Amino acid sequence: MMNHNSDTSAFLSVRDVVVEYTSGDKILHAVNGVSFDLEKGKTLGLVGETGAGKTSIAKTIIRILPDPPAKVRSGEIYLNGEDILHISESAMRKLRGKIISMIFQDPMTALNPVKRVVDQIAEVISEHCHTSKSDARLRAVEMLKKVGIAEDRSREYPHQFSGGMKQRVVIAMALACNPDLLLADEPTTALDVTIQAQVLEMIKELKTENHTSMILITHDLGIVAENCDYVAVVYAGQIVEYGSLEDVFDHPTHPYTIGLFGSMPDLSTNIERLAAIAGLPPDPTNLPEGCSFHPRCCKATDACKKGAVQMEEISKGHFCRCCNTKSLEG
Amino acid sequence: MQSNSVNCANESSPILPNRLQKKSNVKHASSGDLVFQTLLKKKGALVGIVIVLSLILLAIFAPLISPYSYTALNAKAVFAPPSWQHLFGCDELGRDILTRLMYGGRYSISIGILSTLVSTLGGILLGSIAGFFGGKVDLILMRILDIFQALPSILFAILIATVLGPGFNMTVLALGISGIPGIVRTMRASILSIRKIDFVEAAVSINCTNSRIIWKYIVPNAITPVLVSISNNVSQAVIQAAGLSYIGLGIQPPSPEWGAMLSAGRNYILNHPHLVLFPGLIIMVFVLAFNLFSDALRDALDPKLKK
Amino acid sequence: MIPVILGVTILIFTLMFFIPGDLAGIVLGPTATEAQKQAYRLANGLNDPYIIQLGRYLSNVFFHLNFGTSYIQGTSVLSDLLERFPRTITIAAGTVVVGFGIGIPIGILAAVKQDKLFDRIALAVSLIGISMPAFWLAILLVLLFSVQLNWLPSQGIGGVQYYILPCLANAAAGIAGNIRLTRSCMLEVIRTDYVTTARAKGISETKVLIRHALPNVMINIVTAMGMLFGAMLGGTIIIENVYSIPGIGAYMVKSINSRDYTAVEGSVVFLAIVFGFVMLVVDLVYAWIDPRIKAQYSEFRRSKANAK
Repeated sequence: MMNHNSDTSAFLSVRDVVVEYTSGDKILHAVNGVSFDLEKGKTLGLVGETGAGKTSIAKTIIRILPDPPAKVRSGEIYLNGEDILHISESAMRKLRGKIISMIFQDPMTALNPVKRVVDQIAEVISEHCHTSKSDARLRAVEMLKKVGIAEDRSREYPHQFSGGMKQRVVIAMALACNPDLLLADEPTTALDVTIQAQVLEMIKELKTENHTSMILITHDLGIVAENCDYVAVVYAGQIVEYGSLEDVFDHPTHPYTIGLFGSMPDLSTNIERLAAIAGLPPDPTNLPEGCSFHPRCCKATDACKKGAVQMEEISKGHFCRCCNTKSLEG
Repeated sequence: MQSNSVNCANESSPILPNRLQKKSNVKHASSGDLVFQTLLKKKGALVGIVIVLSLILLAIFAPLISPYSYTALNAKAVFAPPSWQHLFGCDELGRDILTRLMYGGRYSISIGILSTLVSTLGGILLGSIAGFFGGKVDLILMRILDIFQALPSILFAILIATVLGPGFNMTVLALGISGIPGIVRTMRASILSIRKIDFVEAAVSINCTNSRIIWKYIVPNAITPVLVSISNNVSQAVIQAAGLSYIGLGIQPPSPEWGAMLSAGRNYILNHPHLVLFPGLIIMVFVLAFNLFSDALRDALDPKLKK
Repeated sequence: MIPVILGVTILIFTLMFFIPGDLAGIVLGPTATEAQKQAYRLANGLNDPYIIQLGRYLSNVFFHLNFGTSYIQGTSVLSDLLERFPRTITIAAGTVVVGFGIGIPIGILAAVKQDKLFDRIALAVSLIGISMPAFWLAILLVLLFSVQLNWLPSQGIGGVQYYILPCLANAAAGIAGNIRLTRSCMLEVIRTDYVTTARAKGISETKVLIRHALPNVMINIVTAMGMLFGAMLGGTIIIENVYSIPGIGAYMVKSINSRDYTAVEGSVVFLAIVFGFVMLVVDLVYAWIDPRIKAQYSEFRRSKANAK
């Protein structure tokens, strides 16, 4: 489902987005030409290491990048055919919370410590659905019940909830107005493994109920396997591999993707040392020439050091950004 | 899921320690230089340092540079307004104000620095004791600190100055003692927060000796917020010293301390405002420059302190 | 609060106890004979050990509200202080209102418009404000408004106009301090996750600032406000001298210079008690506006009620 031409008929079409952060006199290249499509009701997993640019991509879609340091240099984002990257701020505000919602990584800090939980959810409802205050509060309580928080706890403050419950409140807040697109930025990273499963399950249910599309950002391949329809592997601000879940998991092609899968320990064999990918991710203020991965890639050739590398379709719907895909195949 | 045939990216390696290093906040000896370099790049710090150093140098070399002697009375030049012979004019006894300001710097600046030294030594010592030993010692010290801080610090300084009397040494002592509670609190809070940070636990777990932990890990990191407090204290001390002199404590005329000059000149402001204008101006310039420096210092140290 | 006030009083008494000089000699003057001085000492218990004198002073102050007698005027120190108190508190209150009323909004705006012209000007102005000795500013204001323009009186008390310049001069450092404090707090709060979450909900920027950022900023600066008030109270002492306002500060300075130590002691204790009350109010306000602390209290009360 990737098109580099002007076919922007998918529900969400991201085209060549470039985002930079300025810090002092340095420029951080956070997102370097990202393009992908997403259909209604499907889930795309954005996988990559910390600092690869996944969060920046999500924040660009919903346009809440911190404006002094961050700047969107170029690109378009089409939602139902409309380029939301270039509409006015007030038009975008109408979309936020109602059409596009975002969940953040750390539930401990995502909620306003001095407002009651029910009020924080009621706020988004009354903002977009033009209901009375009491109606909004009733709907908020309903939403809380849906995520498993009892009514008598709705008037409490965030500090009185555990991490997992806080995240459920966050999810209730994000889904209160039935958005079409949910951006979930590592929603379970800060939670215990058992709670992780519950929370993901709950997101899945609510999502299926409303046919919500989702972009799930994570660095955990297990979560991707359980929840995603499509996978995009992100490295140094670019998508280096994209395909359906089966394509990427069964036939990982890009050396980085292979490295990621290779570093997962296998339960059935004994090993003495973990296998890691050699080297460290590149400094975003000083990206390598040519392919960003070539300093760590053992298959790098001279061709890799020159010029930007384009995405190539290696099989239907499965793309890879590598000069040497032909030689890697088979 | 099966991995593809070509897997070249992985190598068998021990759990890489360099990732840990990348995120560590531990100050080594070299990061002091790093702070220094960052500081020098900031314009505010440079301007501040230059002005402060110039004033200090003027004060030190006053006998060599000043146009007149600071006690030279000149009956003909009483209340002379600013002119080329007397850049800042003369006071009620015909003494050149510029000269007196230069000599006055010796009093005012050294009061500021010395009293801060007293506060710092006392504060770091007590704050460290409270922070390290915790428990009952900490509790008692904090109660005592609450009592001391129930008095605004200027009031406390006035009280001590009343007991000790006016004069240079006494003023240093008064301001120094009244500044101790603030530094104790900062030092203690700093140590308590450092103790909780994981790298201390990590050091303990690799069997670091206590003294090594204290000197290499805790103290360097705990000192940094205190440094900002210290530079704030110097500015405050100079202003408070001037205030004390103004109300009759502190340094008294004929010593050319800047606050004393303000105090002596206040009776003549109607007709000869320059007696009051210039001493106040120089206090402001010195404090401003020092504040510029301490703001820049705080910014240079801050990114390393962000949680 | 009570143990702290008690402790402060003990501290003040102890410090004043060690002032060199003979109280009897000061009060009776240089012409008094040794016998007269000794009689005075006996009559006032000055030969008793420290602990007894301390106890006597504490019981006088707290149980009998007797702060002693000013030897200069022969009047009760307490009545002197009470007479002067309204003027000092007017200046202090005016300073607080001006200092916070102007400082906080500017600080908030400066944070919102970070690095733009408004912010740079606000930072520059506040830097100058905290670098100026307040009493020097006071003198300059007199020069400008009283001498040159003749708009405002330069000394004494009377109507509102007599308090304008003192409050302004005293508040300058307070305004500056508030701008810096509020700005840095606001900058921190703006970058928090919950503010980003609020924006992601599609709430307008103004509402985000008012409903989400502001309450958290206020909670963080309430305690600092108490400390600023202390600095302002201290500053009032000196300002009263510049403007010849017969308040507690002027009384205290006069007493210091005439070595009327009873009056000095009484003034400091009095001010410490006032400051203690203010800090208590600040703590209560803080507990009231921070729901985390309010919740602790209500849980505490609920558990007590359940236990009964």
